Amino acid sequence: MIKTLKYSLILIFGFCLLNLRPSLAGAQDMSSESYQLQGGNFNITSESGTSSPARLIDQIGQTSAQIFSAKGILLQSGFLNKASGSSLNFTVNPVIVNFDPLTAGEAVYKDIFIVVENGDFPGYSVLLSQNQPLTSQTGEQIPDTVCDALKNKPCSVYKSNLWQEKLSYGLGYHVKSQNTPREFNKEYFFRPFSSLSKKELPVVFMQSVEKKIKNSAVVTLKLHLSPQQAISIYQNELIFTAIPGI
Amino acid sequence: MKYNKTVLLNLLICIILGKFAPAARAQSLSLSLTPPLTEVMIKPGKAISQTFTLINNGDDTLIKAEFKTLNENGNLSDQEEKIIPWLEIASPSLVAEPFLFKKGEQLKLVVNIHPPADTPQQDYYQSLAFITLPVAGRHTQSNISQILVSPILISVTESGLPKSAKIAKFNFPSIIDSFDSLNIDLVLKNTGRAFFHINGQLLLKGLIGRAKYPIIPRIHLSGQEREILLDSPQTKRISGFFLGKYSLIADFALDEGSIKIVEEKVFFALPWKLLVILTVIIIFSLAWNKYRTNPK
Repeated sequence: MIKTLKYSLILIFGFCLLNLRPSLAGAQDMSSESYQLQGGNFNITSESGTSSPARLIDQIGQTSAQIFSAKGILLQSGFLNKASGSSLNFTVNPVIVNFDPLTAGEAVYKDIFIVVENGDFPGYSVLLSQNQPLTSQTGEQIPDTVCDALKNKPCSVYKSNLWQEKLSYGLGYHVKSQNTPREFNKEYFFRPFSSLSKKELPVVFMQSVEKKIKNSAVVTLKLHLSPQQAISIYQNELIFTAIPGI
Repeated sequence: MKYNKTVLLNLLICIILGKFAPAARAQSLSLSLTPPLTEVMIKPGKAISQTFTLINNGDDTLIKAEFKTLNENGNLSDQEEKIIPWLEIASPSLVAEPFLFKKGEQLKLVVNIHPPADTPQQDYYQSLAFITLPVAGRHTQSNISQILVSPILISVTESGLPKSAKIAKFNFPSIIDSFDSLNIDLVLKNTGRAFFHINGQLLLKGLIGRAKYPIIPRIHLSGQEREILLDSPQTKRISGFFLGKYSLIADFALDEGSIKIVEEKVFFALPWKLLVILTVIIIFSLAWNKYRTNPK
């Protein structure tokens, strides 16, 4: 008994001694007993170069406040000019999602591939919306999905839910990506597109706060046509919007 | 033998055709925009220009450029009346109308910013949006459109707009297990009239050591309430082994550091899960010893 207690105490103390200090994080501040340098505008030049049509302000030896009071203008491309040499790349593939041939009662699945790449400027958001539900030239519409609402599992523009019921019809989407909110990623979970025609706001389905990254996502569209749906050609527009993570 | 030769010849033709045939692929939209963000501080009556570069890395597409407003959360807004008239595309002049943007082509676009002398002194959150036009077809189909946005944040001021902020939320558990991570819910509200970058760190002080966790210097627009995130893979979590009493200090500066935001909160860490397991082991050991010495 005493032996067990002794070993347990040795184990706890040993573990505590090894792990007592929390891991140190690398801060960008430089300091000693007599000074502390904090990240600010440590500028290198003081002149601004102008050429038509571009204008470049290189901040050497002056703070941004000094430049502004002297010239009345301060132009920066992102945090401490981190965005000036940076770009946001956005790829969507394909440009048309063709659902034909369609058979009533049989679901059709189609994939759209998204790639976002940024540079030194951190973060981005990708939003998705549709101009209207799938609509024919005569105004007939294929409804947006409500998922398995018949089994008390309804979905909405802002909440995915299970969609497996054979009697649940409409158009919806599912997203698979590491940079997507978890509720998008669940298997067989879908939601309808937000519609500009219904004054709904686009939904963020892909997001990151990191810099120098290349993220991808697969947006899977599901179209399940009701046998009562009028035969016609239905079309809509899906709008993918990429914004830097300001 | 003849049959074998035919099979080999067919195989060779297939390999050669497969090697040199162009890969079949669907059309794609792929745009690259520089710079992704522009910040301007300008006095009324002054003028400045900014050059944007757009590259088409995808297939030929119809495209147009237009200004859109941003709301206080940095998202696109439909309020066309808020598009400021002194933000203009100087060249090329026809990009507001759809034009064919060919594969591999590069577009240099110059935007003039020239607030008149009587412009109200405040922040204006605008953006330059490049919008591709969808391709029509004769099937039941969804046509894809792509919008790539570059925000333009403008402060019109004679001598700088007042900046202020307050911590709207600073939550984490008061007691945690020593082996658990500390989940932090930290939100800052911009209560001033101008946008700012938030700089600084979370400072963790324990009985023995201290550690700094730098934050991501994100932009907070005027009126915006936004989460503060750590510049690490776990943006809202501090991992490690904790024991005893700790202070977590939120220590931030707005922009270049003249305005400071500081708030401190305390939590306690105990290895209670380990203690529970050890207690159970000890109880079982005692019971086992008792059973061994006296099996009946």
